[in-house]
This record gives sequence, C-alpha cells and structure tokens, in this order.
Amino acid sequence: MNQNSWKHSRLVKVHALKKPDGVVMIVEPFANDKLEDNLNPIGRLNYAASTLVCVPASLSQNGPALGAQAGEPGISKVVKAGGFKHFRRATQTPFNIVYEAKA
Amino acid sequence: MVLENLVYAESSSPQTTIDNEKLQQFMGKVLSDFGGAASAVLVYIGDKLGLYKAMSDFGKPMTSKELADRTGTSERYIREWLANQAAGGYLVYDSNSQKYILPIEHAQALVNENSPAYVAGGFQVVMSLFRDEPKFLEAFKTGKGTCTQKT
Repeated sequence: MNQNSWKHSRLVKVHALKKPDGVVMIVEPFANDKLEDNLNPIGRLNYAASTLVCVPASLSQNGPALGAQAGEPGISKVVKAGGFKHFRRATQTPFNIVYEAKA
Repeated sequence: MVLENLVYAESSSPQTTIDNEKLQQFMGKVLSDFGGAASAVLVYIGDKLGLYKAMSDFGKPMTSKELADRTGTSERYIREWLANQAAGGYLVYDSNSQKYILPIEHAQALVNENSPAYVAGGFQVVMSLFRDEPKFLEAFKTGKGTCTQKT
C-alpha cells in the first residue's frame, strides 16, 4: 500500500465492494510512528527497501511516496483518502503490521 | 572408514524438535546481514553522490533539505536515505532538531581518502560482486572461470 497512489486505494475499494461487507486486509512492513523509534535493525532494512523500492515505485505512479516506514498515520491517510471509512490495525508481528479497511 | 560412518549415522537420530531460542538468535543474525546487504547499495550511493562528503564539509547537524540542496538531489530520496543510514549507525539522528550528523570518526572511514581507515571504496567492490552474479552462477556449475578474455 505504501508504494501505491491514491488512485490505487480507490481501485481496491471497488474490489472490496463486490461483496457486501467486503474487507481489505493490508500487509505493511512493521513501523513505529516516530522515526527515532525505527532506528533499529528492522528499521534499517525497511528504510533501505523504502529508498530503493517503495519511494521510487510510488513516485513512478505520481503517488504520495509515503515510504515503507510511514506507520499507521501514513497508511490510514491513504486508505481513508481512497474512500474507506473504517480503518484499524488488526494485528502485527515484529516484521509486519496488518491493517483492516472497510467501506 | 565406511563402517564407522554407518555406525555414526545410525546412532545419531535426526533432530526433530526446534530450539526456538536458537532459531530466534539465528533470525537476528540473518536480519542484521539482510540490513547490511540492502544498505550496501545506499552506502555506495552516499559515496558516489558525495552525500557523506557534503555532510563532512558541513561539519554540523543538517536537515534532509539542506543535504539535498547542497548535493543537487531529491529531498524525498535523501530523507529516506538518511533514516536508513541512521538506523545502521552510520549517521546520528537528533530527534529534537530532526537533523543528522556524520561523526568525524565515521568521516575518516567514508570521506577522508588520506586516512588509513578509509574504506568507502570497498562498497564499489561489493557492488561489482552483485553485478557479476550471473557469471558466478554459471561458473559454479561449469567449474570454469569468469573472465571472457581469451589468452
């Protein structure tokens, strides 16, 4: 999701709405909200991937280039801008956060 | 010899239970290697674009915008690069000022070509190794060398 444009977020909504009460699960790299809290081995790897994969991929699609370490506030913003009303952190592991979005 | 090996093989049953602590320790090591490997290209970029040099010349903490302006680069990419470098311990981040600094000791390794500690060029070697990966895959199978030049 962090690599995508706002347009893509709306596209996902269309798919979710094909079924009543459709739910979209979004798997993102783990990130804390503040940069200083991501300065650890996982953050190091994720910021590298972000610089070389996520940011260029998003910019190629005229996206917001949130980066892999956008955290919950950044992802929430994109998902809600895509038209989803319900957004929450469903679960997490040391490497990933799974968000849930509903129309 | 053969008999001894056979006896050894029979007496040592394969391990079936996983020691979770050992697994976690190893995962930590792999994560560290993963981070180092992925960051190698970013260290190379920092050298190639003069990012470390600009930080060393500036001599005090700087923002992503200041570094981007001084090096003719995109602030968005620089912001992400700085975070990676701080997470890896190459740069130090101050959360109050939201500025980054290259410690003078690190500059000896990454900027000062006259220092015996200067190692920035090593990342050019690492980049070269990754670029030649198809040749190495082939060489491992054929047992031949990797140079195409005929003698």
